[in-house]
Amino acid sequence: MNAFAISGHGMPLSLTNLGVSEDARDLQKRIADVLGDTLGERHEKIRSSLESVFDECSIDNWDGYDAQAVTVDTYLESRRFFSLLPSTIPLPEISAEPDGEIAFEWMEGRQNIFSVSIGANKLTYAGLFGMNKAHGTEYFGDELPQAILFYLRRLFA
Amino acid sequence: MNFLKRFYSICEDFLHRLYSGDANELLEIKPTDSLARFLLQSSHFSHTKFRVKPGALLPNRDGETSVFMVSELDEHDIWQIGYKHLSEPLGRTLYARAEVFASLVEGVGLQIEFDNTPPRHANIVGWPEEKSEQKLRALELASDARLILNPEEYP
Repeated sequence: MNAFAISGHGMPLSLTNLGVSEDARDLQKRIADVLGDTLGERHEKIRSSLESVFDECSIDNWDGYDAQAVTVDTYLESRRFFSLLPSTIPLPEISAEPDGEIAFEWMEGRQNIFSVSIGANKLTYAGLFGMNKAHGTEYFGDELPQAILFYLRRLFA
Repeated sequence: MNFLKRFYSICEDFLHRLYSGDANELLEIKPTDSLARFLLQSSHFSHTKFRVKPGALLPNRDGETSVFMVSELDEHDIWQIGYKHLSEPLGRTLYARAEVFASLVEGVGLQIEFDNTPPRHANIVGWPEEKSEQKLRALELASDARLILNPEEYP
C-alpha cells in the first residue's frame, strides 16, 4: 500500500514518502513532476509578464505623462519578490508605475484589492478590504515582510 | 420670473461649455463631469476583467495626474483628444481610457486644477507626499473608474 503526506509551506514544496515500494517511488516521482511543472508554469507566466512590462516601460515617458523608466534593478528585485511569495497565493497582475517601480496586484472583487510596489530595498503597499483600508512601507531584505504576508492572507481568507 | 432667469443662466452656461474652444476661456468643472485618463500602456488595465489598475492614475514626478474633461462630447471627439495630444505625438498606441467623475476625485481628498491647456485639460493634484498613501487614493479611484476600450484596438 502506498501512502503519501504532501505538505507545502511556500517554496519549495516537500514530499514525505511513507511507502518504500517501486510503485510508491514511481508515484512520488510523477507527483513531483506535476507539481514541478505547475510551479514552473507559475514562474514562467510571471517572468513573461515582468519581461513584457520591463520591455515596454524601460524608457522615460513610457506612459505619455512623463513616467520614469523602470530600471534593471527594479526588474530583478521584482523577480526576487515573486520568488519569495507562497506558491499557494494566486498569480498577481503586474504593471509599472510612474515613478519607475513595478506593482504586483491581487484582486478579489472591486473592493478587495492589495497592491505592492517594488522599489530599492523597499516595498510600498496599499489595500482595500471592503470598508477597511491599509497602506504602508516595509523594508525588503532577505525575506518577505510579515506585513505583506498578513495582507495577502487577509485578502484570500 | 426668477425661474426664467435661472433657466436662461443654465442654458447660457451649457452652450458656453459646449462650444467654448478658446484656450483663454476657463470652464468650471462640476462634480458630475467626467474626467478621462488616456491609457497608452497595456498593463494599466485589464481588458479581460474590465478594470482600470491604480498605476494608471498615480501622479507623475510633478505630483499631477493629467486628465481631460470629456463631458458632453461624443465618443469620436473623446478619442480624437487622446490621439491628437498623446498617441500621435508620441507614436504610441491608444489602448483605452479610464473615466472618473469629478466628485469621486474630490471624494478621495484630491483636487482638480483645470487649466484648459490644451482645451479641456486638467490635472488631479493634492496627492499626499507618502507613496503608500498615494497608492491607496489611486486604488480607491481605480475601483470606481470606468474602463472604455478603444474600438480601434479592441473591435
